[in-house]
Formats: sequence, structure tokens, C-alpha cells
Amino acid sequence: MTMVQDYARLRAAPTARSRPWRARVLRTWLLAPLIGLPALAALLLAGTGYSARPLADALSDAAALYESHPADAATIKKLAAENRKLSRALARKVPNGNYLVIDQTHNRIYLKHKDEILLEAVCSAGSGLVLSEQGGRGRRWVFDTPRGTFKVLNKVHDPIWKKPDWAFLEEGKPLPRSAGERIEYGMLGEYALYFGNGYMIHGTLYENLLGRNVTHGCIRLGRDDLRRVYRECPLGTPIYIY
Amino acid sequence: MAIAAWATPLPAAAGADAPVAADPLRRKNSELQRLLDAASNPEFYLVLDVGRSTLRLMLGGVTLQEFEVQAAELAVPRVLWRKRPAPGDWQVITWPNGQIDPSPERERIELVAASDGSAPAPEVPPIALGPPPLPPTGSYRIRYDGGLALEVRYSAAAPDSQSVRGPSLPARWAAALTRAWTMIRRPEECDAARIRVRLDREQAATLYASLPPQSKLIILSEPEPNPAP
Repeated sequence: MTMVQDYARLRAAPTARSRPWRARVLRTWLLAPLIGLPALAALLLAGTGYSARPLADALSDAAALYESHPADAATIKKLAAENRKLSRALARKVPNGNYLVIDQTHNRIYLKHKDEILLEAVCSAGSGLVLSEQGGRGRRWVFDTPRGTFKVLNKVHDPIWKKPDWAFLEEGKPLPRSAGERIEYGMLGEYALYFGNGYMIHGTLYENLLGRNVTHGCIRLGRDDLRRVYRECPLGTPIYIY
Repeated sequence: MAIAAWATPLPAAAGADAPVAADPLRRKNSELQRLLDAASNPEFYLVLDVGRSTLRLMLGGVTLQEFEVQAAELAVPRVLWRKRPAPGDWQVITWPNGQIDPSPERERIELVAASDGSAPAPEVPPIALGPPPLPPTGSYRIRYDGGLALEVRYSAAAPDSQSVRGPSLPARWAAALTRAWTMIRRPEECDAARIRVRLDREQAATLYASLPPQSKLIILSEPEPNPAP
């Protein structure tokens, strides 16, 4: 009886040969992507991308590709003369006198002469805020400091601020009826250097805010730095703002 | 100093050495002409000086900022082991119309004020301090017309940063796979030539925040020796 029971038990237990072929195929298709896809991904990564080499080598090789034209002494002399002419023209682009460089991202101003920095000071540049007028003429102001090349067009001692419309709107006040209501004294500090389109370098009552982008587009300086810039930057001084 | 830096001395002898002496002069004159053209335009431009390992932001012939380049290399696309050559004139042209990717521009804050003063003054939010943060990926690109790009690399993690971390390893692998798949499927979207420069993290951040849009790039090859004073 034991032998019969054992035989019956063995018959009932599945073996590898008795498993359905569908299950084998299904297992293969499930396992293959788990192994194959990472392998394929590794192949893709290894074979695709950017190949790099030192830039100096690439420049040398690129230069070597240019055909060498035989040149006599006269041609070389001409090339050298052109080299000197171009070098002089390029050197003339740098201002002869003092000039200002303003970094509005880091709120720094540099007074320079050729490559020498005469003064490095903290300033404040435009906030980038936008003010929109509701009603009225529906105007819109963007308080950015402009980028580019400018010149000192005018210099004023004890400048008077003629408040523009946006200054009233910003304070929640109605626009004034007379020009006299726009005049404010002392807001711009001791000096102002105008560089066009209403923008200027001037002083401030809020020196604790220097170093931050808080202005309506003008450049604010501390009192002592402003005195030096005013003294050492005559009319026509180039200003580079970036 | 400026003239001495760019002027090239007249070669002592001509004749048999003439072809060798003329080509560096021609190359240098070409570079000077490009610099002069850029300085005569109102746009900002970058000058990558390979010989001096510097990258300068310039306007009108004046250097606004100078960055020290720790390493520089030229990269070309390789799709399934097949390299594509860089455009033939990549080193002798001015790369135009550079745009930073990802853009550092931040959303502007807009205030609305009634024109008749009937509403209270708009509340001005605290102004954000500091320049825009660097991308956490460890690099950004300045993409120029014609598929040319300048890739600026820096260390991914800020020295004192504990909460801001770069992407995880699986994320980086996924991003790399996506890029590779894009290169295979849409090769026209790859950079035709990419110059990679490595900068100090702080300098990379300064360039990222300061570079105006639509700038140009000029590449200067090895400098000629300066003439004796």
C-alpha cells in the first residue's frame, strides 16, 4: 500500500517536463527585458554622447588644416603692418581717461583708468519691479537699470528731485495738479551725474540699503564714494553697465 | 600694454621660412579684426583666450570682468560610436546670439496702483537678495546660433550647502539615457560643437548672473610672444 501511495504521490507532483510550455515562454519574455534593457542602456550610454579633447590641441589641428600660402618678405611686412594697425585701433577703444564700470548684479561700481581700479564701491541698482497703473492711462513702468555704454551728460550739485508720476502712484497718492508739488529736496544726495533717459548716479538717504537692488533704475552711491566719482568723472566720462 | 599684448614682431628672416611665418600673422590679424568688429558694436561679447586661460566679458573694447579658466576642451557629438566633425570654421568665426540655458531670469514682481490715489499704496514685497542660484546639475550652457555652445562647468554642490543636493544617481542615469536617446533620434538638436570650460564655482555663478542676453563669443588661439620693450 505504501508503494502505491508513494507512486500516486509522485504522479501528482509536477516535474520540469510537465510544466506548460506557455509558462516557460512567458518567464523568458518577462526576464529578458530585465536583463536586456539595462545592457542596451549601457551600450547606448557608452556609444553616445560627446567626445572631448583639449581645446588648445583642437585649435592647433584646425590651424594646420589651412593651406600655407608661400609668402615673400614684402607680404610678411604688409601683414605685420596690418597687425600693428589693428592693434592700435583696438587699443584706442579703451578710454584714455577715467571711466566707470557698474555691475548691477552684485551692486558694485568701479572707477577705472586703463586697467587700474581707482575705486571699488558698493552701490544700488534697479530692483526689476514692475508697476502697473490701474485706470488713468494704464501705464506700466519697469524699474531696471539699463545695460550698455553711456556717458556722463550732465553733473549737478545739490540736485532737486522732480517726482515722476510713478513715485506718486507707488505711494498710493493722487497725481499732483501743479509742478511745484513734485519738487523734493535732498532725496538725491549731494551730487548727481546724469547719463541719459532720466537715469543718473546720485546719493541716497538710505545708505543701509546700499548693496541691494532697490532703486527705480538709477544708481545710488554712498556719500563719500559719490564725492569722489563726481570729482574724478568729468562730462563725457564713459559708463559701462552690465 | 594693450598694444604689446596683441602686436606681433616682424620675423627676422623671410624666404624659406616665409610660409611658416605668414600663417600665424594671418591668424592673428583675423583675430584682431574680429575683436575690433566686436568692440565697434553695442553688444556684449565674451573672449576666450586659450593662451592665457581666461574668459573675459567685454563691451566696446573694455574688459568688464575676467574669469580664470581652469580647463578648456572641445567636444563634438558621438552617436553610437560615430563622431561628427565640428563645423569647419568654428575657431575663426564670432559665435553670435548667445542665450544661457537654463535661463537665470526670474519671474518679475508686479505691483498695481490706482491712478487716482483711491487705493492704498501697493505693498512692496521684500526684494530678493543676491544673484540667481546656479543650476544644481554642475553646468550650464550658453547656446549660440549654428548649434555652437559654450558649456560652463563647476562643482555641483556648494561648499557649505547641506540641504541643496544635486540629482541622485538614478536621476543622472535617467537624464543621460534621455539625452543619448534624443541624440540618436533627433541628431539635428545636438550641439554641433561644444566648448567646455571649467570655472571656480563663485566665478561660474558670477558669469551666470551677469551675462546679458544675445552676447557673442570670440576664441583666441595661442598668443604670439610679446615683442621686447
